[in-house]
Amino acid sequence: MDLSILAINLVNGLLWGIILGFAAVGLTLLWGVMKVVNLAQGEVILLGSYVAIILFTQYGLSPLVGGLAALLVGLVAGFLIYWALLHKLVGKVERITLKIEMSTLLAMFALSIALLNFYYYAFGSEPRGFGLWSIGVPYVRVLDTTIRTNILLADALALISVAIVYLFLDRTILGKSIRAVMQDAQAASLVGINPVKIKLLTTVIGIGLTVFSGFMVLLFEASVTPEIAHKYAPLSFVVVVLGGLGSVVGSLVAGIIIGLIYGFSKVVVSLFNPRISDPVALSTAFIVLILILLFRPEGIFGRKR
Amino acid sequence: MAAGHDNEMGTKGSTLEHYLKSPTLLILVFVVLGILVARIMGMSTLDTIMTVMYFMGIALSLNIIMGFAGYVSFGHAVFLGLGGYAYVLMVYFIKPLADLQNTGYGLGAFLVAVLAGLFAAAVAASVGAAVLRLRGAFFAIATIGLDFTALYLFKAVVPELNPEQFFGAQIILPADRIVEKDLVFNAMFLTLVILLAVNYYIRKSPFGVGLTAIKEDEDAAEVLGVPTTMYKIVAFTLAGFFTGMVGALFSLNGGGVDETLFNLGHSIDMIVMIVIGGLGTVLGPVIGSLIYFELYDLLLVHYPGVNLIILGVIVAIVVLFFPEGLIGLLRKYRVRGVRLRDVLE
Repeated sequence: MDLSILAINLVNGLLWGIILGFAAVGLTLLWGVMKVVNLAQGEVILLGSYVAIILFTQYGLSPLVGGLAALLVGLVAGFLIYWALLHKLVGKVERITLKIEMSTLLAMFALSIALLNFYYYAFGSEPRGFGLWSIGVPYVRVLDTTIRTNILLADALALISVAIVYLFLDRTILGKSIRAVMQDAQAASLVGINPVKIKLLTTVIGIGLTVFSGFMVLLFEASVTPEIAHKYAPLSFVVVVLGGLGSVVGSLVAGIIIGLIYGFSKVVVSLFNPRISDPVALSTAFIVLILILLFRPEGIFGRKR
Repeated sequence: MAAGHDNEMGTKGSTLEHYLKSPTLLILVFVVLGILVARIMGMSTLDTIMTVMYFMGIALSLNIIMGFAGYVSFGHAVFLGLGGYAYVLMVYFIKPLADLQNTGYGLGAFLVAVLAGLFAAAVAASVGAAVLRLRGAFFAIATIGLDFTALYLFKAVVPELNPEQFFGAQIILPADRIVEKDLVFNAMFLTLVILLAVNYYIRKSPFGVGLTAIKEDEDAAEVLGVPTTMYKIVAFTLAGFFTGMVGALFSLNGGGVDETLFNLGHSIDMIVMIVIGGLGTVLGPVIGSLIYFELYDLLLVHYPGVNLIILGVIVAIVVLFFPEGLIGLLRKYRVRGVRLRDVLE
């Protein structure tokens, strides 16, 4: 086997995995704190991509401004999603039962139908992106291959964001309250933490980060179609389950693991049949998901529940 | 609910009477006759009737595991795809089966579809034993994972089976391997009648009561002696079997199959129909699928482009404000002193 091909694929897998890990941070927070599984994950990611695209193509604003706008739109979207969908189902509830969990699943599912078809309606199914825009030079040479600078920018932004979220949850009072509710909602309310406030905050941050990650996904993929939602949503679930519910660092590490597995299996399958390497490599991610669910459902960084 | 059911069985005497004496059965017979009359009188096109039966079929299939046992399988489209591919590949590569499917007024196609359904059921049974240990969202996510695993594997494997003929994962059946649409109707109709009977039987049987107990509180059901693991696997396998059969006949009707059969959109259809109609009943998915079909059609005609956006909003409203669906809504009312609950259950 040509070792440099393996190296290139692993580097690509790593770069993709960081994006994947960051895209799942919002999902893991929502799931960990409120037991809300955001089935509209892919569509919420795309919201960020399309906000940046509109600002770039219609108003000629720099994609960097678009990225910031995506974050702001995401925070507002989180606020709206909480009050329109989630508050009625989980707002005042202390113990979230299976039945309530199913209702939130279906509610987010409804959001995903509406959003996905809105994208098809508004933007069509053709790929959209920033065209030839890039920050600085378009490519950098690494070893024998070239890497788009936009991908490096996306990865840098993702890593910085994960660090900020981690520090927020670890150091600030609000972040500690979120973690307290995650561990034991009843005990948290006994010590004076307002659960409704924390749930609202979690939704705003969780959805905000997910929408923001759409900007990175766009930088990485160069262009997006509504169909991308169906690639990133299931992979985000894999990442969250692998990393452990509510674990921000776990999410990043799990994303990188999935990226590396993808890169590695792609090389291995190419040895036998290059034409089918991509779909088989993607399916390995889901085989990992089912194995993890069966043998270590708390994830690699999660605590036993 | 379980307690009332036992009581009913105790007071109503013979078991046969318990199964046959129910207004629900009458309504179901009306639905079946309605489809037949619409077909024979030519009241709507064959394609329309097939679509209605397809919707009703997938809703009733998923109902066995989602409606009765409360396990929401978001990746249930996987069985649609497995059944469809199993059927099309069988008649494509195996000549005797291709000959069989054209015999007996559609009975041949029905039998081949049973084989395809058995393939889906085998996958459901083997995977079910594992994934049914998971609850709630984890189960939902695991079935989505299953769906995507199958999707990507078929995308990889199918083009290799016959590289000259297959365009990607799409297989178009040659003219000598398809079945006349009249015969496909017969096969689908037979499948639907059996599916209705199975749903009705489950609703009335101790098995169904056990599934309902699992839905209400699985741990309590286990303590009370319900063989929860076995019941769940049987329900999941049945749901996989019938979804596979419907997928097989749907593909046959379309003259081929492609990977879009694995789309989560099909899972959406099934779940939405059950939610609109009402969980845990037989009439729920039947009425839900009829409403869904009409709604789908109306929205498509009047609001093309945004029809599915509106559909999403409607689903959200149903989930938030009418969590029991239409049947749950009607259940509260009385008509001339008769509790609608007794009629609809």
